[in-house]
Amino acid sequence: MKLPYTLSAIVALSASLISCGSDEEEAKTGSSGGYEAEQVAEALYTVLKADRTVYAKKVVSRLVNTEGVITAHEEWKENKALLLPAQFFREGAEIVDDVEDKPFDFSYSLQSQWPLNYTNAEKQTPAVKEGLKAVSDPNNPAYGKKWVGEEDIAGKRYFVGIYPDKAVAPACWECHNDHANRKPDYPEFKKGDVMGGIVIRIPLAQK
Amino acid sequence: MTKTLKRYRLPLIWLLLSGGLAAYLYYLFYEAADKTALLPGRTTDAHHQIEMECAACHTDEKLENVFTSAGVTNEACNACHKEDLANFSDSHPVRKFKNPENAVFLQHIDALNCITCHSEHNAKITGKMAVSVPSDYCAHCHDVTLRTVESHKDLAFDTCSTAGCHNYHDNISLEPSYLLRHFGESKMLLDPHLPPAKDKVPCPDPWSSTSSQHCASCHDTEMSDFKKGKHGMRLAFKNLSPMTPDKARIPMKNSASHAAMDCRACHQPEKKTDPLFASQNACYQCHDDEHTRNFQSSPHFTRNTGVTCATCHMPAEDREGQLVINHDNTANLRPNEKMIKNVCTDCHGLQFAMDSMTSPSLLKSNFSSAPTGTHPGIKWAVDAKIKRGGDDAKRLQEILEALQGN
Repeated sequence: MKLPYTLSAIVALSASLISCGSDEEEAKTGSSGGYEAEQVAEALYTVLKADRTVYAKKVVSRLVNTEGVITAHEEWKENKALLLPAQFFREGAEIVDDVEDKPFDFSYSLQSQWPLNYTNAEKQTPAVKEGLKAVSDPNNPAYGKKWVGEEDIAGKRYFVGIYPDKAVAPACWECHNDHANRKPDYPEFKKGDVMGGIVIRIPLAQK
Repeated sequence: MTKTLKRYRLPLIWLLLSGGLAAYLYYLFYEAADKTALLPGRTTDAHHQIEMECAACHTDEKLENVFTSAGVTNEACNACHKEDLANFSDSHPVRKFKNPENAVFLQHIDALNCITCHSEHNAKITGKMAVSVPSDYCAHCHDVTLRTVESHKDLAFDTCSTAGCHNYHDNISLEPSYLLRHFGESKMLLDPHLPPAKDKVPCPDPWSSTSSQHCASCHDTEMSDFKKGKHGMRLAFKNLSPMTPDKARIPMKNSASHAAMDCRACHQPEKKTDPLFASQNACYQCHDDEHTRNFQSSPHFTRNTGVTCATCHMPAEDREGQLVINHDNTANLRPNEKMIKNVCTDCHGLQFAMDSMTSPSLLKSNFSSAPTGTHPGIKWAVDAKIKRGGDDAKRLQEILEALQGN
């Protein structure tokens, strides 16, 4: 019997975490005894993408666009509204950042070449800029797939994987196309377009 | 003998002085109740009441660099402030800066540690809200805002957190959608309403013989809040006596110098039947500043509006369906612009409330006259929305034209 997609992803991630947790040093170095950093990142992406799709489609688009029973708003608390999908994603990422006893360290975020939060874009590293461009450019072999590399941040070496974040529901492209912070040169998004990327970082052992 | 004494005179003096100094330091650190001599500088207004409780901030852990951290960890700050930070959705929580991609911002300001911005005992560099970095600190990360937000292009970064608009932690008060919703309101709302009074349940115990601890056995929420504010914060530490007005840094009446701030300071047994005592008259017993002295000549008082000191400083709050009188008397003062949303707009239009609460002279006179200045915040949000168009722009344009026609 084939497991549902999301459940499979969770099982895959759990297996990765258990395996990496059993040999912390190997996970950090990305050596062959455990899973490679890239494999761990891909497992994380599988879960993140699944949860993000569910929230965008089955929560926001259903309740806001289809049934019209509630709104989703950037100032969600003030407006007694749902969090925007990007905010929902970021809140989860911040909770993960705050977990002190992770079996190994990792972090993730949502970034875009066409950011609505300009301060968010200020922190994009050269690797992230390159990766976002690669997964968002239809003429690049990495378009819609993934971009992986390494980078140094504050004296630490990181694996960085950038995975496409696609428009899966009207809530995604309608909000972005109509946003006050949208610049004139931003594309008009439609279903299936790559709107940005999920950036996953895993620290590597110092060489 | 005299010759020997003469020979060893200097070493003996050195020994005596060193021994005396060691004994004095031992006494100061471990025995003395008054440790004022150990204070490296004036404590902030926020913490001066508990400055003798050194261990409240200076923990034994992580004494990595006694000259820079002195053992003050975020955990020490969180022991008192964590709940409030969570309640108002802290917009710059420490966890936000743990993600390596935010390391670029940490190069300018170490937002991982509370004491980066809230260093203590540094009176010369400490301003409002116990902030000890220059007030233009927002520029480190948000310089893009002044470049991209049209209404903000001529502003300086030292006004972000000082003009009643933005706060580093509690940033919930004046969001654009809130400003737009309340655009065009008149000075007084059509349905001004004071918060509902709490149902009175007779206390089974005689107040005269009841301690604060005993009150807390039923009124635990109130006591928990009370200990967070300047009235009750000393009660959070078992070694400290209750606050007394002689320890205050704002003007207090000499006659009340030694009145202990526990439950009965305001809820006095002999005043049980006076409905205004705890919420208003009790305040006059101690407070002697300009704001308090002007209250009885202010419209809030003379027009019998029902507004008391407690209406603003200890507001009634709906907490998950329960009506609670917030006994943290300082909550609405961190910063005082929080009152605009929590209290003022129950009766007043938002523009009037913002104009009043951001006027230093009106704060002193206890709002004895109407504001003369106009806070530009709402207009900025309205102009941006009208320029952009969309569903709400037409409504705002109509209100704007009506106001200009008047």
